[in-house]
Amino acid sequence: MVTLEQNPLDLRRDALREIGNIGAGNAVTALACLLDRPVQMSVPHVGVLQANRFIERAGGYEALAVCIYLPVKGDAPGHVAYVLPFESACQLVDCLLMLTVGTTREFGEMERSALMEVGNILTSSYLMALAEMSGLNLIATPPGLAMDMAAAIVATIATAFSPEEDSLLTIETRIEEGDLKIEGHFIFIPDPGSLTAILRALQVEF
Amino acid sequence: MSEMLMVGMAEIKTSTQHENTLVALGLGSCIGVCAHDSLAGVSGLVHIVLPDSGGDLKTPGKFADTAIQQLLAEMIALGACAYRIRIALAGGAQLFSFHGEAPHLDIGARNAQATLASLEKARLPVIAHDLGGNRGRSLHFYGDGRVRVRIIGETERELALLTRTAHALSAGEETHISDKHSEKFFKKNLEEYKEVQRSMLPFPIGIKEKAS
Repeated sequence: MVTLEQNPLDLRRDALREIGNIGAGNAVTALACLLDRPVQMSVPHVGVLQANRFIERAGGYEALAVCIYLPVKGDAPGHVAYVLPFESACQLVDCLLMLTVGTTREFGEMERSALMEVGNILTSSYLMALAEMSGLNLIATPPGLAMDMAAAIVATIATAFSPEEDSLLTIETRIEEGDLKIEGHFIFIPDPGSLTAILRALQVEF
Repeated sequence: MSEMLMVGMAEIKTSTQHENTLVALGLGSCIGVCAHDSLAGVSGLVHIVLPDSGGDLKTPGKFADTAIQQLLAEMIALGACAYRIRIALAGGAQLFSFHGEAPHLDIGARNAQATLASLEKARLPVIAHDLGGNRGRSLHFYGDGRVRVRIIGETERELALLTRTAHALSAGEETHISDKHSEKFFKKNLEEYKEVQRSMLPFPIGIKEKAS
């Protein structure tokens, strides 16, 4: 089985990075369509991070974070998650509900639903990029939402979904547009064996 | 010098310093198990991640079935006695909510179940626990045996006091608990505490029931 951690060849990591970049690009295009305005997005960091390091990057152990997670079925089953700090999630909701940035301060049913929807679109378009590149059949399933301490969320997705592995393929994204500033991380967690399938489909030697 | 010892995922940390605090931040589906021998002054905290090791012994702190034994062994090496150790644990939440049917995300519940089973097997008395729910928790375990739990959006609260002072209190002896909050908490839980002690067999200090 291929794991990310004991990966001596940069080639594989590069392939995954490339998937990450393209995936995030697709996701932001989808977001721009949804918001009906141009959106600038940068990708400050793509790479494989250990869960603990990731938590630090995501704002610290006890920082309030929101996570939209969806299981992936098909040729390379796994999980895709979008983790963002609470403030960023609020801004994202403001955008979606066409409110002035800074309006949303807490989450009700409406806000949760909106967030789940945008998370769904972002993660699905990320997935689509991966599917197109690899030619694999990947099916997104309905999303789940969590709002809690960053450490609790990351630990849950890192361990519950990939017991063998506590390293995560993460893509840090930053959306900036006027007073809008949304920071978030896409996380891709392949099931055991799925990484091999993806790399094989991408014809990366390993 | 007082120190905050962070216990990350799958880690076991022990302390023999009264001033030290063992901390597990952001327990989601994970479980934090606090163990304390107040006579020897040995504390230990393990951050359990998964219920079953399946025979993998590389990281004993990661799994409920291996972590408790390992924690016990490390504490005994520092002078603790198994029969004096008291336990408090927290965690095992289900953070994610789904529209409709939830997939196999009950890892928190399975962790809780496996950890309790493991503690029972090791005959370690659980004084208090805060398990399940859908909120993440932070655990602060002070060198004097106090265990506090914090949930986002709520005030920190006392979960347990794992000391001999507590035992003395249950036996009706004079105590010198300085923390009023702990005392109040403990008096409330006295009956439960006595019950746990009665169920423990090899216990050297018998509980003196007050003659009526």
